[in-house]
Amino acid sequence: MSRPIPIIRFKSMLIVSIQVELSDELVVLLRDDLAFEMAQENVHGLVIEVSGVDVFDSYIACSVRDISLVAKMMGVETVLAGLDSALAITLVEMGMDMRGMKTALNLEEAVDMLGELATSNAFDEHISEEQLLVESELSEDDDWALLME
Amino acid sequence: MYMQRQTNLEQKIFAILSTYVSNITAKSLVRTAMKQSRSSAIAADISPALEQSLLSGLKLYCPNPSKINRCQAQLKTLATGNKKVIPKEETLFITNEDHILVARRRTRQLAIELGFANTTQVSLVTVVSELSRNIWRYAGAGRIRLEPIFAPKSGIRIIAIDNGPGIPNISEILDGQYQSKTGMGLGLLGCQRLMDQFEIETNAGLGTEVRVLKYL
Repeated sequence: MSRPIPIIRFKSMLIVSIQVELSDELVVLLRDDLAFEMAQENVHGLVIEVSGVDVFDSYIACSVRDISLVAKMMGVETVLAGLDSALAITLVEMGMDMRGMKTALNLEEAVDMLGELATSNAFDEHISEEQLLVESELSEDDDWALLME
Repeated sequence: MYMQRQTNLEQKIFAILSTYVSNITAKSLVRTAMKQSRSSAIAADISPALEQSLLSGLKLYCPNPSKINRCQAQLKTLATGNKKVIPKEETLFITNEDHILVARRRTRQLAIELGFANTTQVSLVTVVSELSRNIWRYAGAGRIRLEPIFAPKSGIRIIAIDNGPGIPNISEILDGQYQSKTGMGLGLLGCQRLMDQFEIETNAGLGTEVRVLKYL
């Protein structure tokens, strides 16, 4: 399946770097593709890298915000990276509310940010380790059961 | 080493290209294009062959067509040297979604020719994007006029005209009370905030005309 905007899987993150002119149609396609990818196992973060985007109007801004809301519902944290200074000024002047979004200066910082978030969730991992222990005991019993047969 | 042997023209081209690609890439693009087009190292102007060669090289490293257009416009300003080009007014017809992209590109190019700063270029492109999307989405078809103005002050006037259904809740929109289904309901309000002058005339069943103005 070929995608107009490629989505890259990196560790437990999805990275999408927009380097083409964004038409409305493309924005919708991207949202659907991302939702599909996020539904796969073990995705915890999404980086939308926009340094190649040259216009960020109300529709695009709203769509990006929607994507991050969809991601949040699926347990995925979104970071917007590489927004050009002129675009940022225009967004603020227009009065666009992007406060709900995490942002980073560039891709590297965005990846670091999501990495930190993942480690701060160590508590969850602890629980899952306990669960793993219980599961391994269970599987031993299963093995015995198999041997008996 | 290379920098020292560069001619004035090469330096100017390098300065433009290096804002689009990395320094190393820009350097090799200039060198290759000079060789390919057999440009004389002491020429003061960009020849059409040199420009062509630079752009085809740039396309390999920079896939974004609007950036290529912008670069081309900047290279053109070098080519014309001191000969002043007067930017012309333009009418762009919006009848499908791709025309929004075309309108953005043409606006960017005209804004560069008129000498707008980068931030204002972005504002103008954003405004045209909003207005042309409104035309396409709500009226189906219409046109955008881009008019450079020179008196009393330099600037640009953008007029968006359609014969669509009109905007019934215009006062609600400009008050910021409105929440659209597809955006933040900020298209027109945002345009008003970004521009120096903003006028809108809308009649139910007859159409809408938006006129905005931005000074240099």
